[in-house]
Amino acid sequence: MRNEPISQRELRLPADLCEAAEQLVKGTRFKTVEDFLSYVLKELASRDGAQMEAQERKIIEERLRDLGYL
Amino acid sequence: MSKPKSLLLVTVDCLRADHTGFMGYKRPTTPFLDQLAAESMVFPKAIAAGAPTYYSFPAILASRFPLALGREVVGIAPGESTLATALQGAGYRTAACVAGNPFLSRRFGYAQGFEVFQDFLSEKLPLAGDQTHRARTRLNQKISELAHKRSSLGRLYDELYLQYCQRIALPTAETWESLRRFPAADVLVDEACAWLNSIGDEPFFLWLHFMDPHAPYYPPAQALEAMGSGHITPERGRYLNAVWNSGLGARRLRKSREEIVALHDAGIRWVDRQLARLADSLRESSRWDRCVFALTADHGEEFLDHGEPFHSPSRAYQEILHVPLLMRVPGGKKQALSDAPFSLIHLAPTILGALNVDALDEFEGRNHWPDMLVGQGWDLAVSESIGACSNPMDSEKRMKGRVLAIQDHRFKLIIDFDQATENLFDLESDPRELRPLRLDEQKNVRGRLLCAALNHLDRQQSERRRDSALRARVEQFGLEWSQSKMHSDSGVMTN
Repeated sequence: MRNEPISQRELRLPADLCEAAEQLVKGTRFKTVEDFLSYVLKELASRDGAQMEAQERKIIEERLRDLGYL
Repeated sequence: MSKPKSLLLVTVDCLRADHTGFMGYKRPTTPFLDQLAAESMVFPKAIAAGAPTYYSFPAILASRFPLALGREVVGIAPGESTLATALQGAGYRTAACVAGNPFLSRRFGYAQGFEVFQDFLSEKLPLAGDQTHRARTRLNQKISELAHKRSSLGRLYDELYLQYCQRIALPTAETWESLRRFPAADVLVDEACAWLNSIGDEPFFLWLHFMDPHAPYYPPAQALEAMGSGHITPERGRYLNAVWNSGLGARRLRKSREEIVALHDAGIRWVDRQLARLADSLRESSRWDRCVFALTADHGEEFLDHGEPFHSPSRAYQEILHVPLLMRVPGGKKQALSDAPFSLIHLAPTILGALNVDALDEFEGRNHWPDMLVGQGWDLAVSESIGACSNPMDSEKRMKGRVLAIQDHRFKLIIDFDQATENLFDLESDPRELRPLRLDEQKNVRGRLLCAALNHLDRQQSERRRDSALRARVEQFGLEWSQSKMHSDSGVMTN
């Protein structure tokens, strides 16, 4: 099975910040600054409890519907 | 114009309301506070906005519900406004002395707004409470695993291991001080007095957080004697704490309950005694009568009330949530207060009201100081935590389901989203919360409290708060990353 290509977007960052990030990833297992930033952003986004909040809200709404409040 | 009043905020870890004399406790835990209560406003039902410490304090100091910034955020977020930042901004001198609770440290943002922040965490304190576990060798682990394949054998193993550790393997415990894990109240009060003496007559905000009643319970001998429990030796105390922390089950723990409560109560007594000393010191420097004094707790403590010890975040019962709250405001008249639940979410804006300092827009609670002058004006308290999160440093546990408790003057609904349970209690006929009402009972009340739960989840946060939340998540991520080995299975790194 072939993997679908991941659509990508370009981001602009200040050059000095990119240079600093290049220094940061040097000698690590991150091959590029893009790899590193993708990892950090993916980790941060994965820790988003918004989905849990939505589930909890749904459970309460269902209970209120059962009781005839909604 | 009169000089601004100062503020002394005292928080006591693990102090449930019904273990203080001014809330009706029979044992003499709080003679000084009882006397003070006679000239103070005492809330009959103050309710923590979350438990344990890391879910309670955002409400106490920042007037923010513990999960309002998302369950990823623990502590005070960078740049978040608090009682301390508000008073520092109003020109107050500020200091905090926190008795070695790591969840109230600089790392979790609690130093913001304090020019002096002493958390006693860098000092080497004896760690005695977990010796049983640390002494457990790999061989013992293996035997334990085998024994626990049959539950009766497992219990026997645990009991024998406990007895071996306590009676044979450990050196003799000669003093309470050698066992204690947190600085005792006298250490904090010494520190506080030194700071107060250094600032002269300037208005101040001093926050003291005491850990004396927190497990492991190792009170000073003088406090035990004052409570009539002087016969309990340090050796016995260590044994009792080991039993209490052994996980042996409620039936076994019940045998130690009375003595454990005596140790805990002596911790409260020691705090009370040191607070009397601090008040004397303020009186001597003529500052006591220009100082608002507020005392509360982050949460209570369970003594097998519902079958468990300590204060797990999954336990939203009153022994955990109902805390003492006493406010002495010089010049204010004593007023009997409504017995409707008063959430600690309102504490910071209400204190600012008493000090005549503007509350901050970001605060989720309300300034009830004008209401206190007529004795009523609050009616509902919401408390929340993540039930499985016994260690907030574990990011997976932080992301589990919420335990939500909503209570009014009579009823209380506890929803545990992880356990998929919803229990409604009538606190008037069942104050110990032992008999949840049937689903077909009190449908209107259930509906009303569920509506309040929904409103609670639908609250919107300000842009500034959301900004703080994101900054907190980045900091949290950085800390966890620096502490752990990078996961080699990350999709990014296998490219």
